[in-house]
Amino acid sequence: MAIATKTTELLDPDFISRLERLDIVSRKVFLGRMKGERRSKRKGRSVEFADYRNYVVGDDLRFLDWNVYGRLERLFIKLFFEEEDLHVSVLLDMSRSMNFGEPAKALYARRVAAAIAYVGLVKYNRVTLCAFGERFGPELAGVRGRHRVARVLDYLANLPCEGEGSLTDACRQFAMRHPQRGVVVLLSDFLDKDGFEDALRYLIGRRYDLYAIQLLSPQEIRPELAGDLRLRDVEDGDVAEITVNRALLNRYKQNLNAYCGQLKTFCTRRDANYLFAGTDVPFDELVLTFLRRRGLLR
Amino acid sequence: MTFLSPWYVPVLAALAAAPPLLLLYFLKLKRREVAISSTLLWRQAVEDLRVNSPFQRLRNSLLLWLQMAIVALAALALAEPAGTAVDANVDKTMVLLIDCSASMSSVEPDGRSRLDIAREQAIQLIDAMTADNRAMVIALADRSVVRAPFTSDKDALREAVRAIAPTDSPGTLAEAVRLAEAHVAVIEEEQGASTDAPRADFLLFTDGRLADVGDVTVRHGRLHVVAVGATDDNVGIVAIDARRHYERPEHVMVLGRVRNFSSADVETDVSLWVNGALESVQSLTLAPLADRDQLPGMETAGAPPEDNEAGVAFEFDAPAEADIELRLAREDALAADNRAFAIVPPPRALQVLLVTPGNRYLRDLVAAIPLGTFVVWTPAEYEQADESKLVEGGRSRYDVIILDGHSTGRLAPGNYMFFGAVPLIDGLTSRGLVNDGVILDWDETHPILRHVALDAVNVLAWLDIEASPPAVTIIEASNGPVLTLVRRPRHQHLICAFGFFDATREMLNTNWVFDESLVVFMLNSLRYLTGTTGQGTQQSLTVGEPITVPVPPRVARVTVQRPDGRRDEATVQSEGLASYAQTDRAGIYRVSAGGMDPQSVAINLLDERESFVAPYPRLHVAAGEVRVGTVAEVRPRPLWPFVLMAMAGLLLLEWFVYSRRMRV
Repeated sequence: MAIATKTTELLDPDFISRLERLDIVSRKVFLGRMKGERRSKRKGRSVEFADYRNYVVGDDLRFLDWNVYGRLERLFIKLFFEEEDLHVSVLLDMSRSMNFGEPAKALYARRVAAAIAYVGLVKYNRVTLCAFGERFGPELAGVRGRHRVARVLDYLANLPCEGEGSLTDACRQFAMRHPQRGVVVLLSDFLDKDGFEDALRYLIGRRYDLYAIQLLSPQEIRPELAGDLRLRDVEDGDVAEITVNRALLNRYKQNLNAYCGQLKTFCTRRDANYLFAGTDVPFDELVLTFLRRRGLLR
Repeated sequence: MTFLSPWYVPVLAALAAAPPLLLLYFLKLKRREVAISSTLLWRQAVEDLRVNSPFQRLRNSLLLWLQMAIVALAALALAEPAGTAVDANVDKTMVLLIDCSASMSSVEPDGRSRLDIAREQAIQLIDAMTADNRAMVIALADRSVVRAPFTSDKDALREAVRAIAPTDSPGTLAEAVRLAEAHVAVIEEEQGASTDAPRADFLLFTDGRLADVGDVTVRHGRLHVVAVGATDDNVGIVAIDARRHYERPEHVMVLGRVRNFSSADVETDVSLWVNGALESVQSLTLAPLADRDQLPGMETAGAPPEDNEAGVAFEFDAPAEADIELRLAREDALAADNRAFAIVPPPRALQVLLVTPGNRYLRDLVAAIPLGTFVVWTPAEYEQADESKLVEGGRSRYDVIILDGHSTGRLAPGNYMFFGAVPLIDGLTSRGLVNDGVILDWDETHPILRHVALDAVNVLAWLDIEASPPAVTIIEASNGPVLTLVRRPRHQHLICAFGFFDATREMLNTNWVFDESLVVFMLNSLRYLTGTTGQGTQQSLTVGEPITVPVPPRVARVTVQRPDGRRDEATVQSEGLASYAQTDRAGIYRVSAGGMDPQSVAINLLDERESFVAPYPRLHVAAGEVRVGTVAEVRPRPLWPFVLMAMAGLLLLEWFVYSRRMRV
């Protein structure tokens, strides 16, 4: 079912003004296709001096430092930092389970994605948005520039939230379609019965600068259930019959902590970032505080 | 602590309740469906808690343990645990002796009769019986009846106790104890026990008013007495006599005696009812028998103190048979002694036959008595007389036949007086004349000798008579009986061993003929002989005495209409007498059959022991005093209410634990 969420619900003007001052930071410097506002790993044609090296035949004579040649009578080539654009990809879990909770995880994920995309667009980064639910897609790939903000918000607002999502399959397809290295933000609850390890391995294998943001609703973190219940999984229809008591709730919380801990450990060991966010945490606080603290935004 | 129910009751209950309870723990509940984002973590949590199921779960479930404890307590309550009785000697074999005599019909202030209370208390004891107990039920009054033989069936015992009906009979205990001991002995023989220890406990429910308590000996058991009753409020009629005037037969005199057995002054009316209609009323004021504090300590009412007793006398004319009833207007504890009955038969002139070879003294004496018919025959005429002149309707035509100096065997059913002669019947022999005897003793209380003084009577010779029982000697001389009353079926023989003349019939044999006491004796004898046969004045019986009435030939069964409205049948014995023994209620019994006029018989309580209803706190049997207690002292104290209370407490705890678990 498509959820038509108004773009104003995703980003309000006041919040946008605060996003203007931010930029996306990559701990890794990647090669870009086009000139951007980001210093590239490659030495290039910007005005910022980087280093010298000996002249070899074939070098562009325009970059010879004639002043050094006047003093030392040796040919040195001046090297400058290349400024390139950055690939920022946001991978959104839009399976049916993301529609759970109050506030819903899907809305929260859209807002985070919108904020990151907005920062990326205004800084002339190449922004790609991918959603997956019943199937992989739709995808909004390679948009760039402030004028694309409305399109991005419209895309996010109209993302359907349905079906049984496969995290592993989505990550594999994303990795295959996007060989460019860059920042990848994965927004999901990671409650996938096939596990998260394979999915993350696909992304980590591509040497993305990966941010795994796990979104859980308060109802999942602190369930308020009582009595004899028949729990039905909204994605696969799986049923679990439980008698809620203090022991079971304690066990659930222990399992949840352990699961999140496993995810965090998995990410940390593989130089990926892990961030846990409850949807009861104000969205702007997550973006302006937690993401900055984690270094995704600056 | 003992258990009143058989062992299998709690076991079956536990077996029935525990498995379903355990099963419920395994059964799937009807659960509320809730949609969640993923069952991943929940399923894992549930499986974590089921690691060692089912045993770990059962072991760790406090709720299950609490519920199992509740089931165990319920089973325990079903076993009816009971503590030891105060009188812990009560054995496993019990004999419930329930007094249903007249005094047990006394109504207590709470509206229940003493018999009702006794029945309730006996049922309480039966309810408290354990599975291995057994008991028998005996109802006792003037006779004892086994209502239930030894059994462990509580229902049968309860039903037997409930079926005990009140009677107006006097209470006796000895027969009941003998009956119970016989049953106990049978059981002991079956079990092969040889111990001399008490074999059973006799639990006597009574108000203590039992006639023969002092003669009771309990050899093979212990006697426990459960006291019943508290009230002493009773006034009763203790005597009644109704008879026609001898010279004016249509004139009836009714005499009664009323006594106050309570501790208060009583004013009451005594009314005379004739054939169901009120005839006359008299008022009485009676002083109390004793103070309230003294009454319970009195074993019997004893001689009445001044003004404690009063007589009433009524006179009226009744040309036909009259049913007489004296009735006290007062309502008190015991109703049975507030009414007394008598039957006055229709006036009838006596027919007397004198058989004598010549005795002017005797002839003149009898002729002086007002009689309907008086005939004098010689012995030869008597022996040669046609049968039809002597017999009518299977009986003698004459109410009394006086045989003077003539022994005979021609004795049609009837009443006979012999002077110097004997009836030739079995069991009676005359061994000739004896001389020089002295009259030693006579029964002054016998109706025949009422107002008869024999001090100045001399007799020269009399017949040496030997009579086998049931002959009654009324006058006894130094060498044998002088006046003997011999009863045979449908026959009465009053035998005076001497005649008025000697063997030559020329010399007087006694000076009695000159004494006025002979006139009184003759009058008494005629009244007595005719009265006891139902031909003259009606006899009065007390409760429990059998009714015996003559019936015409070929009548085999008679119907008895009881005062309580019930109709019984009685069989006629071979001698032409119908007998009915179930006279357990006071009132008028009417005996009837086809071909015979109905005969009425009055049955009265007239028993001061039963009328004296004050509670008696002690009981003296032959072996000594028996303590009188309450049923609570011999009944095991039931503990199951405490078990139920504990069960309720556990239920509360279980609810608390459950609700605390559900509160997350």
